[in-house]
Amino acid sequence: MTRRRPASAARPGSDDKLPIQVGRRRLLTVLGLFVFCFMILSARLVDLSLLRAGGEPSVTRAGGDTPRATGRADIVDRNGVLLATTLRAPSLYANPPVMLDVEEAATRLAQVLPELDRAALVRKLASERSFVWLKRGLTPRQQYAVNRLGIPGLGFLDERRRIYPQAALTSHVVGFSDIDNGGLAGIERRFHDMLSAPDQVDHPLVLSLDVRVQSVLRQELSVAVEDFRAIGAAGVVLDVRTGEFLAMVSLPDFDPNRVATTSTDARFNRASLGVYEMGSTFKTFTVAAALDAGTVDLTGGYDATNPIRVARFTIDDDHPKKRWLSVPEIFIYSSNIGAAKMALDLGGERQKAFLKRLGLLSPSPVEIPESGTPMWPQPWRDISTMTIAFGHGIAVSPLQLASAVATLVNGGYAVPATLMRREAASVVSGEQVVGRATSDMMRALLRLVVTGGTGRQAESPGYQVGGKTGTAEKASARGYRRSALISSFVGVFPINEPRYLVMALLDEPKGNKSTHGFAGGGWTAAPVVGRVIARIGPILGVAPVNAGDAEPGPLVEVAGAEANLATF
Amino acid sequence: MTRPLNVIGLVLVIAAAAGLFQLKHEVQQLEAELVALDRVLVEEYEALRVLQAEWSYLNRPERLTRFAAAHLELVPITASQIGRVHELPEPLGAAAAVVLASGDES
Repeated sequence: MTRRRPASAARPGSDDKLPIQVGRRRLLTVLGLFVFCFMILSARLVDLSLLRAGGEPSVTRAGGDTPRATGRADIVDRNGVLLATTLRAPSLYANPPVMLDVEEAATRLAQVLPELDRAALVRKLASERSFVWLKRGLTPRQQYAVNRLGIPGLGFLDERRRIYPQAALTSHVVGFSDIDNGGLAGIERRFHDMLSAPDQVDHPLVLSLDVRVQSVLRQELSVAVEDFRAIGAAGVVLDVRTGEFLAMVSLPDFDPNRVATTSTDARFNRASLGVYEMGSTFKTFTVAAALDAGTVDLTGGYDATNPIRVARFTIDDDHPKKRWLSVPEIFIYSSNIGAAKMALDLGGERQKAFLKRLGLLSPSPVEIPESGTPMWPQPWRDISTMTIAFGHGIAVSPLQLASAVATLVNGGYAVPATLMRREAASVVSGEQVVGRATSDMMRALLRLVVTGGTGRQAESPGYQVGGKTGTAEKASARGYRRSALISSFVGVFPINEPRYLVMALLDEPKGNKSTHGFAGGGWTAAPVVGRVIARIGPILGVAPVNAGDAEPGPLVEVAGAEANLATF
Repeated sequence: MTRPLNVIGLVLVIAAAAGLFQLKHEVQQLEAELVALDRVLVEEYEALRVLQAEWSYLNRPERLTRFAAAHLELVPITASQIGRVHELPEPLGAAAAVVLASGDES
């Protein structure tokens, strides 16, 4: 504001009034300015402290926010049984310079921790350093015992250790993690990020496994491995409606709590990573494809009198009937010749497309990194079509085979294999791979294999089992080896309304007295499946049927000496 | 007029300071209590986890099977032991019950 003294001086009487007015006006202006600023400040203050509570936590948790998280979420089975957890594992160290009597301390420590050697302890404690590890990962009981000794100069450092209470039982599925809690195999590896995410730590990962079923399967497979001196075994139990695996076993297995001491063979997952030529179980797919495409029906058949000779190969039957065989006969007597001719009728293109839709030509979507990539011939020649018809020339993992068979018997829709528990409501039926009619016929045929074919030993009283045997010679650098077999059986029960699929596979079983020297799938793997079904049936709440109960289903005429008319 | 105002102001300042001090002291005490409680909570939580792991370890199906075989006169259930209600024999009438009780009927 500029002073306008010359102008205002012209007016009389205003000379002494003017400065006061000016002063007051300035004062008011400044006052107004300050009031305005303070109003803003207080409005902001009210806004921050009272109105905007969400912007910042209204209650601070200074000091009280000790992390309760363990750093890695638990893994549990479908019923909540703990499979993997993280525990505080104190590690014992010593500060030798402050110890009073090293000899006595060593003696007493060796008493409460017997696995420590007294002489070695004395040597460690004699050192001049002020920090010596004595033992990593003590149990709470050991820590208590050491504390009770009251030896000065001993101390604990907290570490976290992954514990697998079920030990070897679920080793191949759950996998294991390293000392820094990094997942190295199985679910631990596949879901490492999720398990270690801070906001997920309190939510255990629920698997589809059921430890009871897993235990039964593992035990029966172990018995078979021992009986038949097999080098390994694999088995799965699968819910055919949802694709959930209730059990997945691979033998030999290992204790994930002591991974360092296990062999690579024990850590190899035969159920999901190993791919094998499966042999006759593949005839299930050949027959299903032919029936679904309509190139043959149940009354049709093929001449299996003479072996087929293609180039330098000869396709022959293991138990030749030397006559015309109907489709059911080809299936239950497991005729390679018949299956090969059936596949030729179908054509390689359609066969390949069918196997692709069943998911047999690409790795299984199962949630563990150990998922084997199937091997199949390129190009897919006629000879491939014929050998693949009876399961040679194509190698898939046992769990892929199990999922594919599940698709054939559950009404024909694809079920993606999963190790996660699914809620009953969230089950979506996948792509329809075969028609319902084909699925019904396949159930009838699978049942015939058990009632009158190669799979008799899989029968389990009360639970109508249907299934298919498979015996394949293992390929080596110099062709197939007659003595090294992959024997398997894939069974489904109850066959009238399939709920579960049980598969057992033995790696190089040798026949014994009880099997008359035979080591094929019908002699070695089928009894395992039968026993497993007898034990898990009641656990899973499958209602048994009486022996006299009718077995409804399509009429299948089976000519021949062994069977005549099977009502089913 | 300024003197009473000053006095009131002074009193208010002292009161506010005292109140603030008291409040801070209380908060500190509560915080210490919270830390102590939280430590107990963590300990309990850890103990719970250890117990859960032990529970799972002791309930391994293979171990239970072993114990059941050794100490129980029970065997796993088989399909033949499971029936349906309609498979049960017809309920006996009152007369039959009397006959049964007298031991004439097998």
